[in-house]
Amino acid sequence: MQGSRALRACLLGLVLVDLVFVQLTEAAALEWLVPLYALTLCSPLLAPLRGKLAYRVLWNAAVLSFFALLVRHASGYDLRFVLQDGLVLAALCQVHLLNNLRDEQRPDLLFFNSFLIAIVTGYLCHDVAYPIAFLAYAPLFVCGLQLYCVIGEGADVEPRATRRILVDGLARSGVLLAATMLVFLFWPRDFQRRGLLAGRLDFSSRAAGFEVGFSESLELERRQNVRISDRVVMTVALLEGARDDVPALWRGATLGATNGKDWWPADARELVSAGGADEPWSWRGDDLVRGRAGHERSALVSVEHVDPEANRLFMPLGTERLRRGAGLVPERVFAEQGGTLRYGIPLRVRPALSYELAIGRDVPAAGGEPRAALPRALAPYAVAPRSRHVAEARDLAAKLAAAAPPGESQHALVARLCAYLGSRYAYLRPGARGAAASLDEFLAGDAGGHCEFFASALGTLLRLSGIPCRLATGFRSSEWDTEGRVLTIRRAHAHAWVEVFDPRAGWYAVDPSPAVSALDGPGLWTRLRMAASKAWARLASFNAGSRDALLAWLVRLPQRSEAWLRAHPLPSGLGGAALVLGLLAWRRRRNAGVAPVVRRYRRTLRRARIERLPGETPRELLARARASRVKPERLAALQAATFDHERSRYAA
Amino acid sequence: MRPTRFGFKGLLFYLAMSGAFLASPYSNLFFLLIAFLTLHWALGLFWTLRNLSGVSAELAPIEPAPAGAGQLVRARLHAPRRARFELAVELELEPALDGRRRLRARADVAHGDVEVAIGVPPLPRGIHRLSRACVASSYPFGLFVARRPIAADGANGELVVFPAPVETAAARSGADALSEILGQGGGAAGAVQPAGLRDHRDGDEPRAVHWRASARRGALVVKEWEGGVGQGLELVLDRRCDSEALEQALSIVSAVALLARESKEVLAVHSQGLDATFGAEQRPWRELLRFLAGAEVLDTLGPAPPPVSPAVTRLPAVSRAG
Repeated sequence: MQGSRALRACLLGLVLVDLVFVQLTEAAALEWLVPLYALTLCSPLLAPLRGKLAYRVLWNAAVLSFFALLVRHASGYDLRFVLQDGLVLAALCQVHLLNNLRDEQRPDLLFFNSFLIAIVTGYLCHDVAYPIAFLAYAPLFVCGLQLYCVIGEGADVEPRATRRILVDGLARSGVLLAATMLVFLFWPRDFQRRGLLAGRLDFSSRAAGFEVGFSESLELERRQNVRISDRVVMTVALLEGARDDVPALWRGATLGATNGKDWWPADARELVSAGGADEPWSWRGDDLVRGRAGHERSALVSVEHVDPEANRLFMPLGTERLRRGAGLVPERVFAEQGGTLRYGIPLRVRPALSYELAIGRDVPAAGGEPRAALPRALAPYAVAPRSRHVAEARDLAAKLAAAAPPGESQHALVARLCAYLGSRYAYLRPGARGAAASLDEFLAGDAGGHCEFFASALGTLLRLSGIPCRLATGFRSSEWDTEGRVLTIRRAHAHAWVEVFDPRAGWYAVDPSPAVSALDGPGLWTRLRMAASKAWARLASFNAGSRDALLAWLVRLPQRSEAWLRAHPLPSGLGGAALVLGLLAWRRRRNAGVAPVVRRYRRTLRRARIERLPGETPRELLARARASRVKPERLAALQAATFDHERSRYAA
Repeated sequence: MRPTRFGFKGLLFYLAMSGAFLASPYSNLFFLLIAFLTLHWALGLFWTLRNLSGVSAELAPIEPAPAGAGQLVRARLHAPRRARFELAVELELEPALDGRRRLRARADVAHGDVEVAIGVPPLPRGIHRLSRACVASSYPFGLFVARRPIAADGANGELVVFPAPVETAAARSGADALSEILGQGGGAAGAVQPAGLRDHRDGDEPRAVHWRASARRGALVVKEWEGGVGQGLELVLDRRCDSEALEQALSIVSAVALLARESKEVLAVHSQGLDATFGAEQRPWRELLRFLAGAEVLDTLGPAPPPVSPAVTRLPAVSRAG
């Protein structure tokens, strides 16, 4: 392949990867990107038309129209959407450039734009597919630059030279990526740096369609343009205990107030005046604890936050102690009603945040009277909604109460309601067709719903039955790694459930949703993807602690290697022998076809640190060496090598 | 070592990206990409220098070329030890040529000795000095260009562009050319006329044979021309004339000199600043062509050419000095 064709192929590859980057951010629906993919792939076919005026006019008109559409689309949303639409526009520009760049024009902009897209999409996309796409991007970028450098504005490059440049480019890409990784791992830097314009770069995502994720309130409505992202929010490493001791539900907020349609956090002042229904948190040294005396610790876990937008310290309901880890500033931790913890940092600041949690063993909820006199502190959690939005719920509650067996305990009632909802109503993922728009519609059985509908339904029915409860929002995940040591929690795991107050056991969680996240599948592909995601999440959440751990591991590496070699003498010996044989084979191959006397002559030249000039004979070189300041012993060696060389060449 | 045009743009892009990195809160991914970009610059610089390290080059002697015709300047590159990419030999002319500062030719891949030819576009008459000659490379990323000077002195340090020779249809020697060109002039003062005939001697050109007279005499006789000096040619170039006449005269001398060089004749030229004979065992032709390339009009009160026989052809045909 000639150089210019190879360069075109590299540019085409770059644009394709750019489109993949944009697709990974979910900035644009696939139907917007499919034409761009098609036009990119068709660019070699369109090449003969590039010089024609009609073609260029058509392209420019299409780009302008597309731009107008994007502006119109973006104008209805907030800044974040503008950024995403900008990405689509950048991708369009790339396709436009690729299809309109004539041979005499320079592709500088295409290179810069492609890297800009890589950077911006890196900010928005945390999927493991991103690094895979970047691994394809880097060699295309480097090979493209090398070909562009050689071809420049001059003549084309021959196919043989093109091949050598491409091979050279691949090698340099490898070196560049390896060096980048080393810098990333070892370069000292402030992982907590806030940025000069941190406060001004807050792009709210609320209006940018709806992305499934943690929410601090709950609004029942039919949503469109719902995106489900598998972006990692945090990882939980099991330090002590068994995997089964770690609950699947990780709470971030509790919603104690409702009007039958929406749920939101209960009024803090009201709760305080009522005396509080949850044990308060208090600092003891590096530990944030709350009194749950008599509870036995079941598990100790380490949590690492990856998601920059998470401003909560997520934990299971039974958490008794939080020990601060890297990046966690005690002054920024605020306890909220319901025993949740808010972390008061601005959005878009990406802290390397980690902490340890000691999770207590819950006392099983088994009793309680439905209409027992409530403590004053629980009164706010038992307020039944009185609005028109709960007409259907009121009827259903009456019907279910009528069907209750005599003397039914509170726990049994909760379990019955939960089972009823799970068996009676269809679970639909957020944004699915046929989803309910309100609680009444859901309870009437005309439409299905997602976890928020199930949780709202149960919460409303319990309140109408006089049982104190609240909704909890957070995540539900059972995505453990294959060894069962690390639990990954993603945005797609966002969930809502109900917390019920049991007179004996206190608060306990009830999850009425029958749904299981699609990410919990245990197939081979899923496991592979999970493993890759885990590795990527560790890289994305790399922090000072990770670097210290890595350095400590490297410091210990020689000792560990030595110990390993001593412990496994046979594999070590075989490995060493294979290495030596490999080196010998490499040297042999390298010197193949070169006469020994020539090799000796070259070696002597290297030692004498003298280089042969163009067209210079060995004898002329020797004369030059004599005239220069070459050490006598090296000069003697050079003279001997020169004569040997001449003898073998001419006297043999 | 300096950034290329692409490098300047890239530098602006890099600064913009670095600014964005500093303005935004720390992000591992952003840092990773900025590290990639930074290393791409740092390694690009290092690799460019490494691509050029140990490379040497030398220019072949540059032959004089006529005005209005392009020429090739050859250079030999020596790339020891490993393959090098995009090695270019660059020449800088003084003064710059149509805004182009550099003329270059590149070797895409070089390992060992490689020859490249730099195409020089048509140049006006004159002596064009090479202000700089160097071997250059911007490989691999084209962000920086590294240059290493190469020797460009003596015959390699200048492009001698002598006057375009006048067209001669049938001339195959300097004498032919002179007679053909001046014959066109129609017997102007100083024109070369047949002076007589003499017996043929060994070494005489067959073209000089007067066949009709030889037939009459029964032995070979050759023509002798007025202005001719035995087996050589002799010209007087008086530069005290207007520029148009000088250019025409220089073109004639140029044509005569080229044909005389081809036919291994000897040419004596007498002018202000030059009084020498050129040809085999005489002064080199390059010297004459260099003189013709740099010849300028002299004032009418300026010195006269060296005194020679009035029979010697004088150019231009009519000088301002009369």
